Amino acid sequence: MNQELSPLESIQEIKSYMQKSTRFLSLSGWSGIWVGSCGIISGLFAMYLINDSDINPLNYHYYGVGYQTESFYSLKEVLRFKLLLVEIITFVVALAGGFFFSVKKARKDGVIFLNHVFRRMAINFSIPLVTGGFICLAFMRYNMLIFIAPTTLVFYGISLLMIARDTLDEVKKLAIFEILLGILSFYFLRYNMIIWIFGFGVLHIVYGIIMRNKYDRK
Amino acid sequence: MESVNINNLNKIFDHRIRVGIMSALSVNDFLSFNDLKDLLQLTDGNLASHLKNLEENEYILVKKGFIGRKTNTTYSITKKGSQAFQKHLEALEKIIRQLK
Repeated sequence: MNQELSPLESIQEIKSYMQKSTRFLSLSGWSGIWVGSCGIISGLFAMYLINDSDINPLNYHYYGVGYQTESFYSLKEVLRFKLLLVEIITFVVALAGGFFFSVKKARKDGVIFLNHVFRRMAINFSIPLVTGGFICLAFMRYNMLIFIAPTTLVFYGISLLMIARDTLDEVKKLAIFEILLGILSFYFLRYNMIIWIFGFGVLHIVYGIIMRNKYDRK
Repeated sequence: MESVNINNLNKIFDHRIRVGIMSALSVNDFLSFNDLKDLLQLTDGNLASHLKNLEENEYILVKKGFIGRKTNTTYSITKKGSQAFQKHLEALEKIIRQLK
């Protein structure tokens, strides 16, 4: 290996090391498409579960004190359990697939996947996400299921924002869209599942396709 | 026309590995030995000798620590190192501008 560098090579090398050591560029377009598809399927399934149960959680007036009858609560319990199950399965499947495609891309690019940037990203991403998770559990506990979809959107957006600095610039745009949709969803609770499916499903797929066309096809 | 002064180039940064170490440390608060090894794709001995050289020139600061029982040595850039690297970069840029 030639150890002496021309000035131009030096500058280029310096730039590449600075970028490689601070940025995680292995987020694959396929990851976005995968996560988005999981989002759509899970969202539709959750909507089906909600419609299938005899109570209508989309109507938040049900949460008034007058409705706290025993039968209402037992129905709620079942729905709550089913929804929680769907959420956990979706989360695991989406995360595993997203991981898989990114590891594959990292291997193709010859980058070590679990580097210090990735570790920093994982921590920064988890803090808002776990916070949002606990808030959702609290909503569940108080039977305010209606607020869960908007909350997940907002906190997921904040999580993305936290890692935007360390990765592709487009992640920041995605993050802002997710947060805006979350806020919108808080005000239009009746449509919150539709907005959720749009945010987690459609947006991710669009993002994935854009990323694939921009970075992966080289 | 500005004259190109080759003496502004820092001899210590002649070597691509040392340039790599300095570039990475100049944009990170600190990096561990393994982080640098992964980034630069080097063997332990090779990296260690260059780190030693930079340390002796007081361009980097070495901090030895532990994660459990395993040693975890981290490196950060010193003020002197960052100034020297900056100067080297400026000199390189000047040379490139003259070449054009």
